[in-house]
Amino acid sequence: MSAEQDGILIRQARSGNAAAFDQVVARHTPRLYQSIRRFASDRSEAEAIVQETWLRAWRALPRCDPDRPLLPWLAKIAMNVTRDLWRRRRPLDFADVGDEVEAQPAGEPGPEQALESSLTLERLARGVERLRPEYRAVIGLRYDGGLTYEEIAQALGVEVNTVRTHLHRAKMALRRWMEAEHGGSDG
Amino acid sequence: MADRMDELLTHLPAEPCPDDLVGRIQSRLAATRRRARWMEQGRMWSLAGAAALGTWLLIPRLGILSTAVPGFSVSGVGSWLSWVLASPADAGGALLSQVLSWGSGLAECMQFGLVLALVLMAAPALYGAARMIASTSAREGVVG
Repeated sequence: MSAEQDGILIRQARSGNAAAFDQVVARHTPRLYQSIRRFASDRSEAEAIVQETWLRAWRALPRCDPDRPLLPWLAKIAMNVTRDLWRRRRPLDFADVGDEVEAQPAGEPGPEQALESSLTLERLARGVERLRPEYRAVIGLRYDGGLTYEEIAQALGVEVNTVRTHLHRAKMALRRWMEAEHGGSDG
Repeated sequence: MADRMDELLTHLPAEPCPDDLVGRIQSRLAATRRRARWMEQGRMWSLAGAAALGTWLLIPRLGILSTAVPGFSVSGVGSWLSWVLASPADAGGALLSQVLSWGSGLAECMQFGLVLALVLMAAPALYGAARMIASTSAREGVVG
């Protein structure tokens, strides 16, 4: 999936070629969905965010720079959609860098058997689900979307240092979660 | 641990994108485009109607308008220019009083129908200009 091809398709779409934009949708939806699913509360919310993101992207197409990577631009729109969606339910501030980490170990003893990679990853995924939404957003954009710290900061509308802080705290919380789940033998 | 955590997070199991999601998005986009096209066509027809109505209202009133609009001639402008060179203050004063008298004459002959005709004809022209400016600035503007 090259940025050059994206650029060509975006130029075509901007000149009114709807099929070119449909191709862009087909190319980027899976990755976008996976990034968003990481912090969306459920599957239907993730789908709603992705759909609305593409609708807004279509309307904002004249302002899209075809010479720059597309995913960070989409991520920025997706975060705005998410903010709008969540604002109706609960306030969300991506710049909030409060000290508390909500990911608390469930207190359940982990499986006794030796660590298998897939089990570890499954445990970690459960830990990620328990993180605060802003931490999940950073993890989704970083590891599922493959965005740089700068791109994440731009998408979330925060400083790069805030992204680093979120990621650092998320990892600390996950480390604690993994230790609690597996009696500290994972680290 | 940080490196190990990075590696684990990179390989975190992700829920696959639903098979039909892309299709659903493309359908919604197609519906949005259709709706936008219909709205644009409706707008264009309304503006064309306004322009036609304005023209229909204006044509019988052209006579009124022509009496209010001053006539220009090359010789008249030439003599006024030589007056400006000879006596700028007098020429300026005369021009001002002429403009005021044209203005009051125009205000007197302005009927409701004429004003409406001009407004109806100006609306499509202004809309066209606004769209041209918007599309130019949209082409020039980029979002990071």
